[in-house]
Amino acid sequence: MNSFVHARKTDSDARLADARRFVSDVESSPSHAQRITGPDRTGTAWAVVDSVGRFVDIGLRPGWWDALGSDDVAAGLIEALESARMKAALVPLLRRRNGTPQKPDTIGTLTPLPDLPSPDAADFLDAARGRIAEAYRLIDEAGKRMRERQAPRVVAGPRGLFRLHVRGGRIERAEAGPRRPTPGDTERLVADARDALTELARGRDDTLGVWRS
Amino acid sequence: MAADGAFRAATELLQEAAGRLSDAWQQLAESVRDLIERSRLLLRADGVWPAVVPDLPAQVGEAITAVDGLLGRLGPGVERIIELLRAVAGRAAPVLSLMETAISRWLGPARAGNVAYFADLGHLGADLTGRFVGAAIEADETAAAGLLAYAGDLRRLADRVDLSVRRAADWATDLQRLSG
Repeated sequence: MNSFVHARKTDSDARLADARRFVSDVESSPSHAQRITGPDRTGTAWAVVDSVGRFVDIGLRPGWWDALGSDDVAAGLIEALESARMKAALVPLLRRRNGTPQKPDTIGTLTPLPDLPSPDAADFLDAARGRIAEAYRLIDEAGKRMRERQAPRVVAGPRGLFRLHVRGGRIERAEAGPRRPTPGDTERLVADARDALTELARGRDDTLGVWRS
Repeated sequence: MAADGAFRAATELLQEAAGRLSDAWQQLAESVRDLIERSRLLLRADGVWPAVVPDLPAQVGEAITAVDGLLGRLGPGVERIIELLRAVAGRAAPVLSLMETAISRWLGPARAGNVAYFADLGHLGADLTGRFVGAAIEADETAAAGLLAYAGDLRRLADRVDLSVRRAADWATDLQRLSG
């Protein structure tokens, strides 16, 4: 996803030690993981997601400038977010492996449509037209979401220090700018990243869950 | 004339729903295949998690098999619904041309039953279209290791499609009974 891939994975990769701790925590505490923090490989960028991977917060630790600099800081932040999401996604798998009882699979159901009035009834045509209009509303909404999904766009923080290139709700890459951050911009840069990711999450939350109901 | 207008609108809905459902299905299949591919890459490209969770490849492999099987299960049901939407709309088209003449009045009672059937069937297609687009977006945004959780949601969607096929068949039977 990001071009931030210079360092080979070694024991100095901060994600490795973090992953080991995380697995141990999940295995020892079934109620773990309402808020999950993930690091980038340098350990100087971090992100927090909830148990289903929704963005909660993001930040930088001291030393980020030396470890990432202005060129890699945006990718480092997104790598931290990916680490956190990966951990959230792994929780069910780790619990299953550990024998923790899982919620049983439910069977998909179909809510019956209310019957239309009898074709002889005075209100039949209005009711039928209402059903047709509702169907078109569903089709139009799906079309809008599909177009949004296909269209690339940029979600930028208001301070000009961080922007996301996204397609639908998916982050394709991140970059610092258009204003190049300096070591003194830590708080503003983090605030910009937080704003951009919150904006992206807002659009995403509107679409989630509808298809599962 | 009002009934004619409703019949026309319901027929157009069937045509629209067939096209949109077909597009949404293609989109969903593409997004799920992409998620499967990302899950495979996870095991190859990033050594962090397989190094810490040694059975991760087996678990993800199991989830890939499950999701692949669900795609295979969804396909025939979706195709049946799309075929039904197109077939019913196709049969209605000649009736639409008849409506331009006085003969259409003679078809009145049967047509009202058709309007109800068409509206319900079109709504079913529209509802599935929305769900498929939602499922495609979800697949796009699911982390590679989230495939296992995604499989549960996809299974429920497959159940829904199976039930939709049965329901559409029941409606067709009811309509035939009504038409005597």
